[in-house]
Amino acid sequence: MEQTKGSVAFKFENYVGNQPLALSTEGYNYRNENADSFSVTVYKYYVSNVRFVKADGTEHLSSESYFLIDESLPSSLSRVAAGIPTGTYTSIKMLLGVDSLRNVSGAQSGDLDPLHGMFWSWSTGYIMAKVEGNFKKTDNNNASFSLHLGGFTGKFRVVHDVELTLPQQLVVAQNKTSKVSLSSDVLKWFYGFVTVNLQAMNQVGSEGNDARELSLNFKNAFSVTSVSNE
Amino acid sequence: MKFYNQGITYIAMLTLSIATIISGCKKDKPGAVEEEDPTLKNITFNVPQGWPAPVYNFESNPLTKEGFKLGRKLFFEVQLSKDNSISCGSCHQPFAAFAQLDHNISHGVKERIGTRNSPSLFNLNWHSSFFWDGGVNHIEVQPLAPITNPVEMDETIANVVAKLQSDEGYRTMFKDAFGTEEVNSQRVFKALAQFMGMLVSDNARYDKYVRNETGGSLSQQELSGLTTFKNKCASCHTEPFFSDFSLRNNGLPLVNNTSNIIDLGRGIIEPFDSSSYYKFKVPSLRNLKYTAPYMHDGRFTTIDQVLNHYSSGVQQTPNLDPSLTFGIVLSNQEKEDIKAFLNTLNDEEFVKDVRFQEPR
Repeated sequence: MEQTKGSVAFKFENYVGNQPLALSTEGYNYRNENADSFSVTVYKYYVSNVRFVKADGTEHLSSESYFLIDESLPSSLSRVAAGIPTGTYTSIKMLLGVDSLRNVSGAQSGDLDPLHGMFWSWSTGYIMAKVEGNFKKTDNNNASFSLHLGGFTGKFRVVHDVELTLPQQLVVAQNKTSKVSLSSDVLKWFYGFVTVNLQAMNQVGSEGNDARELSLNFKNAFSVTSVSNE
Repeated sequence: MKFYNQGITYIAMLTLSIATIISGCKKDKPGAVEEEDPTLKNITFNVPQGWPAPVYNFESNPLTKEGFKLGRKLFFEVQLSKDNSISCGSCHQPFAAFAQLDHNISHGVKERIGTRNSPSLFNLNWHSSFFWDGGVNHIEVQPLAPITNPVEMDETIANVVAKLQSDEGYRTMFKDAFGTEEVNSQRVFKALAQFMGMLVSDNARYDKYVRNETGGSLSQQELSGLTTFKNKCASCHTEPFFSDFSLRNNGLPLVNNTSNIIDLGRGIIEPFDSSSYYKFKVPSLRNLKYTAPYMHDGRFTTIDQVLNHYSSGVQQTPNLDPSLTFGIVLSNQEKEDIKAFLNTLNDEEFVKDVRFQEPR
């Protein structure tokens, strides 16, 4: 018997604490754990290898699910995973970043096209996530920060697999599209594994310990806020 | 059986007469039937006899005449740079085995200067990493670095795509190569990889000697040089590529004579690992006649200087390759013999290959 299939529409919503993220080149809208005042000008990250998990532990991998989420590009925030076997799912797994295979396989296209500015040209590999903005220095002068997370292998790997529990069961029905809202919290970049002092750490642009530590903060930034079954 | 043979002969004669008719047409109506472009003959990739399997074999990028032709045009295309002033071919000249003659450091847009000597390009399909620091892991994404580097072409990939998309000639060539007129970065890179991957240098006198072909005789001195080379150089400059493609510190003074820059080499890619500092990719010794100057920063203009470095100039710097702890003991006679041997690695057929020249 042929397996029946449906779809899931994801809505990615980026927050700073409880407030929806608003990109801004002026002022300092936000405060991080270290009490640095900051604003955000760029917020982008990759989500890939999305898997739908059933109560019995079986998983369905949504093939070719490579989503570059870019806060400045509304169309990037709504993504659809199609061809999902009908059934009831209890959690979602996904990779924050791009798997190592796609980092070593030459020229890619679509969301993985290097023209999106998420690729290190001199030291091959995707920038898995980046946040950029301005912060107020202790002398009250303005400065910019730029935190880019890259490194797909080895001890400074920044790609993490996360499992997000669902607030209610996700039901995928034949030829129907259920909805899942995912949120990420920019504040989580700045604490958790390591508390970031922007005065001291404001430029991260290569593989290494800083990127690794930031990634261990960032991996806790995600949650599923709602499920709506059709 | 005999009849069958006659049949083949007949078909061959018929084909010949059709060819005559076609070529007759061509004289009357130039352009009516496209004459085969001699620079697009033999666009096939063959692994030379006795060589290992390549790392890149066009498996996910099927090599075609149209793809190669597009890649060649892109390689010599100045629109890849921000001010449309330089192409890949500016710093990788065919007659210099795709290095740049007489430049220790090449000039980018607006005469900007980087820190490293532009390397020669050939036999790239066997490389598992690219650049002097091995920072790039795939031939297809290699061009990203020079295109976007501010001291090289200083352009964005988005702009390159837009420029090419607005060029009718290119739209046609992309259609010929990939089926539609769409220009995207993946197609640009795959076409460039087809051209670069086709750059195989395997017809030096040494190669003919190895294959027992005519024109492959080595003199007594060259053979002595080969023996010395195998004993004293080949552990890093391994045949048939004359490089093992590893990254090593060969003991150069950290500060060279012409600049005060200390280049960390591989340390730029792995700053967190001090054991990577001052290591550079072992260059091939093929085509040295065309590729001077030498070393990652082009500090040596002659092979004599290079040999003297190994015999008496090696510095005890951090991460010096263990094989060079005591330098390489070389008599003057051995140096002369090695030089004679290295001369047999120059592949004139490669640098003059009509397929690899800038299209007119």
